[in-house]
Amino acid sequence: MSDNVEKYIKRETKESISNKISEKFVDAGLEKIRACINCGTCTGGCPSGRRTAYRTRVAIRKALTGDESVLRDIDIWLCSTCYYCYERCPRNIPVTDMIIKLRNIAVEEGFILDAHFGLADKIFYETGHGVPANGEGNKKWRDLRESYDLPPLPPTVHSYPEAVEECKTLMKEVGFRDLMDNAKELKEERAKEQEKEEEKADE
Amino acid sequence: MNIGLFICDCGKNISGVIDNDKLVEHFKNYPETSIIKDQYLCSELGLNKIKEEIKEHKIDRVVVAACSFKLHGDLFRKTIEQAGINRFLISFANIREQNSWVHSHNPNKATKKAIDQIEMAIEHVKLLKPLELQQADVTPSTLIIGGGIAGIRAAKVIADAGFQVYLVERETTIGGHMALFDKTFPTLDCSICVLGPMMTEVKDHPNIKLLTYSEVQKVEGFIGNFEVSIIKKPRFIVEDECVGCFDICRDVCPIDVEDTYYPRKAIDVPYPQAIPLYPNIIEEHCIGCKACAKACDREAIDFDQKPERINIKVGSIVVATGLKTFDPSRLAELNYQKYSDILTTMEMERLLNNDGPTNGRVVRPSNGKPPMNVSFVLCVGSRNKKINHEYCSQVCCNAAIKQAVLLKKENPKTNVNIYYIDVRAVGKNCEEFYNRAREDFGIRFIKSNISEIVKSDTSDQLVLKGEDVINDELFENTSDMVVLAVGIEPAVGTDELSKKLNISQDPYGFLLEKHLKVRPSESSVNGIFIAGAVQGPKDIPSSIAQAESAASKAIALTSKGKVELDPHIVYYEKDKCDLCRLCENICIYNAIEIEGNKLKIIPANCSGCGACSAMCPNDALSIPGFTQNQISAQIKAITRKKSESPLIVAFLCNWCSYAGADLAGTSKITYPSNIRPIRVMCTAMLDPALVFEAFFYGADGVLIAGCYPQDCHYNKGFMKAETRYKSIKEMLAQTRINDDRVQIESISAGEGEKFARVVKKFKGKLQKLGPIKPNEYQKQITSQEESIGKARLDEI
Repeated sequence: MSDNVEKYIKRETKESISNKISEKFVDAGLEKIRACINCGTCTGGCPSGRRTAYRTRVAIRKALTGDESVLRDIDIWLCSTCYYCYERCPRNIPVTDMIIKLRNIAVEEGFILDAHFGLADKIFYETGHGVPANGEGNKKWRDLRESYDLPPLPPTVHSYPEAVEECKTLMKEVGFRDLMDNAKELKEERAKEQEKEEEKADE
Repeated sequence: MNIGLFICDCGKNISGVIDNDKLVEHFKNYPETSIIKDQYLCSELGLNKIKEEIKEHKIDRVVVAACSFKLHGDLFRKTIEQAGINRFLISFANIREQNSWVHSHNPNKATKKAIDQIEMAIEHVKLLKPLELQQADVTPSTLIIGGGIAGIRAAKVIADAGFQVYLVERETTIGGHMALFDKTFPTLDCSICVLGPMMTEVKDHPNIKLLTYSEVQKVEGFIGNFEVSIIKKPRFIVEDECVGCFDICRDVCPIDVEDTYYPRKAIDVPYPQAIPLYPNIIEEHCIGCKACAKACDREAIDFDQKPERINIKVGSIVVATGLKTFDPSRLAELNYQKYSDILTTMEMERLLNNDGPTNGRVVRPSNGKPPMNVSFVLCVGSRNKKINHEYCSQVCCNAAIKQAVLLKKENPKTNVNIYYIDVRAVGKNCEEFYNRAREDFGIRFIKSNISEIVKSDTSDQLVLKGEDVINDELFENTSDMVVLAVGIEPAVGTDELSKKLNISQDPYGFLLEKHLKVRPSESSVNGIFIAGAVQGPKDIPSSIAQAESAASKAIALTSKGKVELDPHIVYYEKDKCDLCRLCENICIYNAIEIEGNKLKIIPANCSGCGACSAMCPNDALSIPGFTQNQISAQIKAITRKKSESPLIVAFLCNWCSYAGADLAGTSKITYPSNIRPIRVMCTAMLDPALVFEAFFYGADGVLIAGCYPQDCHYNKGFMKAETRYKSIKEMLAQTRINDDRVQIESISAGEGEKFARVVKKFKGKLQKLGPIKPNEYQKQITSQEESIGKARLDEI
């Protein structure tokens, strides 16, 4: 037997179970999560799960048992919110709402994907548009609009650049800016810690 | 009037907290009252003392200050009757469960409360009137509705006891669902071999009159005296002439009634074991060629037969109308209607049955070939909140396992998968059967609720999609045939029947029992009993057990010959009534009838809930012991001195909240002594005027506590009280009393702890409000209302 046999023996144990996630669910009026009987109807019918590693039931199960790794995993971002699970759940659990709530909590805790952060922080906040139509790369949208006799730019901040500031004020007021800043800070901290740990491991 | 006040020490249970000497001191000079103290009133010695004292002091009414009347009330009632006083001239002060046991932290206040409680009882007993127990005769026969296994068993038990039975069955044969099964779980014995002889016995029994192809049209009357009208549908067969050879007429009939699972001719019997064995003609399929009439040498076919009305009188009714299986087309993702190879367990039963359309060969309906892969899907239509079927249907797991085993027995090479959420193999020997299915027959069990069933793109097979939740894996399994283990619903027409009989249903439509645990085979109406799957999903043994229980109830009633009617029912003063009919509308028991300009009370139907008495604007109706005056006297006794502040007058329903308060006592949960409970039979009997009266005399708060709406002893009593509560609140605001001073709560008999919590909270709220004063309350006008008001001014 090789000396390396140790690495094949998995000894994963979970840390103590916390109620943090399920408490947040209860606060948001989603205490129905407790009704889950793990029948797998949600996962079985999930069109996203057929193509990805996303397992609806597992995400809900982790949220319920307090396994916070669900916030770190990319899984919850793979849901396409098609509401199949919501329709079929025999316990009448609003499953899709639960996944969206999990995403909310994840962002609060600083678990946000770079692409999402970029979209939210840069494009949405800076331009007031989720899908911008200005700039060189988006000429096809302007052409499309013109082909229907519409003005090339919609009557949004694109047409009224002075309104961008108003949008920013609004987003600050509702706490969007703080949410993003907080997420960024937490994410950077975590990255630093990880670096340190890796250095230690190298030594 | 000489009232005997008997105060019990109950060892130290009462006297350890309440100062009984102070009580004696207080009531010594109370008018018209003699006072007697004893250590244990309920002991042989104590009871003898009561009898002696009654005779010695010429006592004519009694107040017992002791434990809850629910414990020894009947004992004291019988005792005073032995001493020559009408047993209803007694009132109870509950100074143990609702005083000494819950206020042990403050003996001083407890004593004050005890004085109040005894005064209440004295004022109450003064106004009581003697009552006579009423009796009614019982017609010595029983109607059984439904001829499935439950109805058959009940009929046999009652008929064997020597009483007349009418068994009414809607279909052309008795036997119900059980007659359609091939084998039964867990023993795999032939279903019709067990049932067939019982069916014949019912037909031949001298005490049973069998009415098949008949339906109950109308039911009137009350316990012991029901008048039932039944419609017998035409079979177009003269039953006296027909000998049941059925193949002569059937074979000449040119019309095939096409049905995958129940094929027949236009004139035919449902199956050869049918009882009674007469064929019938289905009118909509018959073309009137009369070939059958020509073939029949007994001239037993009559095309002019008309529906026939039959009127009978019975003393009791057993409802055993059974079940209907869930229609899986309601779950669109299973595609039951789309693919013929998806069937229900009931349809599978027909394929397995020797008398079925395939003579017991299991084949795929799409191509007639035997299946090599069969999948069972459990919990179809059960445990599903989406379709309001939260309950477990209890038999589908076992039924599916049984069918899987039968398939394996027929061909051990067949692959059988059972997809389950949980396997609930309940019932005697059923778990062992389930284990055998795994071990001996190699049936595979996969923990997954199937999400979708679709047709395969590449073959004629079906694809089941789901998640194996033990492996965390998604699968798409192919199968030749899918069997949906469908759940159980109440039989078609249960709603209509329950309305005809005026009995209650549960939220799913099953018939409601009087008490889930201790009175499972009685309906909400006296004299009407329930048996089998119409009360809730059941397997065959449980249906039979309940049928025999219902039968024994019916026998007990019939053999006694008379029913004793509780005298605590509604009494009527003709002069006060102006025939407004409000009482008739609110009564759910058919106890009040208005014929012409006369109001008639049917004592046997009345349950004594008092909803009508609270409804009556002229106080023409009342329940003895709970009349307006009698409750009002208790309110006055409480508020006379106002011995505590805040003072809470509580109206507790006899069945739930009063029992809940007693439980708080026996569990020794302490709560503030500010509460003065008044027992009412149902919160629905509480006239809103009494709430206002309580405030008028100075109560600081009123608590109305009753059952949870779904467990109400009088079905809808608490809901009626809730409706009144809303109007009480509105009216309080108008009279400038803060409407927070009145509160309604549901407290069940098992919630002693909740009772204590409610009292604590309510007291806290009232303390903040302070003592009640006139015009205390100005309704706060919200800024929105203000702006609306202003806007209106502007308009002017």
